[in-house]
Amino acid sequence: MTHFAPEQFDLYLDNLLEPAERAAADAHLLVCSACQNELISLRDMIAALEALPPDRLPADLTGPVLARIASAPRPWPARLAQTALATQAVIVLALSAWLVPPLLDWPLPLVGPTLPAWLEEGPTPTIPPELAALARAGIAPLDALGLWQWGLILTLAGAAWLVTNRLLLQGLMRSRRSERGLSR
Amino acid sequence: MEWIVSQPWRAHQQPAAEPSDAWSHLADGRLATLVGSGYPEAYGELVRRHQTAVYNVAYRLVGEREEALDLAQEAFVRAYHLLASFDSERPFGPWINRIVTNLALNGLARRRVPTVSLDAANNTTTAWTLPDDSADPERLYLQGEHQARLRQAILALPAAYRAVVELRHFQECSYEEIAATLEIPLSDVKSRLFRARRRLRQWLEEHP
Repeated sequence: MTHFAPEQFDLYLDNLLEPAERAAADAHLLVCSACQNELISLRDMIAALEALPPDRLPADLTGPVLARIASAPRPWPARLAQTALATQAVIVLALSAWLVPPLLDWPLPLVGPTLPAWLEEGPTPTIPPELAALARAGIAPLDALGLWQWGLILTLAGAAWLVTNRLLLQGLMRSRRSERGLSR
Repeated sequence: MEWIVSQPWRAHQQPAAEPSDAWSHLADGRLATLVGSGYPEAYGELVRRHQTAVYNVAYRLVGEREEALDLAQEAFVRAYHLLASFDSERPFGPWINRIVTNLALNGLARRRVPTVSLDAANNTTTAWTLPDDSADPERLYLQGEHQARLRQAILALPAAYRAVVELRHFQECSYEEIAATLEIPLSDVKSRLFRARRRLRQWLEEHP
């Protein structure tokens, strides 16, 4: 074997050479004092470095850390943001399912050309009268609203929805970034 | 008091119980789980156990005791808020050490890092001998000098090299773990470690 390539000394010391390379390197070290000296020099420098004792802790951190934790406002936890977004989606879907059919006087939209024949032959499913009455009672106050009132309500609701989602997503992203950046 | 031994996380309900005694026999993972279950005082035990190591990581990287202490404190506070992402099956020490390492490196990246000029390569090899650790005052003095010189040599490295030295030689990370922590390719880990070790040796040779 020829002399070690410069980076081979590091791979040798870090036990990262393949077994065959390691055997060849060991054989070379037996006959080459230059490579031997270089290896010993690096090894001893690393040993001295790793033997560096820890510095004495100047002050106990337990009290200050616990005090800061107790006083600091907690950042948006990712789980809370996720839960809030999921809850929001469920509420929107539930409201749509509840309000849209009675508003548009739909029968329950289960009948269509793609349905199997056995289902089409059966009775047309509709919303149960109790449920429809309940839905109409729920939206009755909305009937009295004029166009501009509807516009105002929808604008405010849309703005609140956008702002809330922005805050939630911002918190979620910050939390994710923080986790990625610090706890890798 | 027997129930406290079997349920130490309830010890805070007993005025006579010493919190540190109550938590001290629990493993790190268990303490972390208890913190997440609503016992934040269990975190105090985790801080007590790891504060010296965390402080030393920061101290080796920034070289200032006050700054290292601040970084260690900040790392523990951040770790507390990130505890939900900590896998309690894995050791807490390396996890918190990575957090303080990244905090220190972020801080170093924002300021000018002092470096020393290491010009021509010097092929002369030096025999590195550790000073005797006997109680002889002269030996102790030499030992202190030797340690101070090693710390200076580390601080003379550019931050990128200091980071790989810290992770490899003090936190015992594999090359793959270093690459993941610093978000750099494996080839960069090898080259940075190679250059860092040569620079360290050269600095030590030039500052006997």
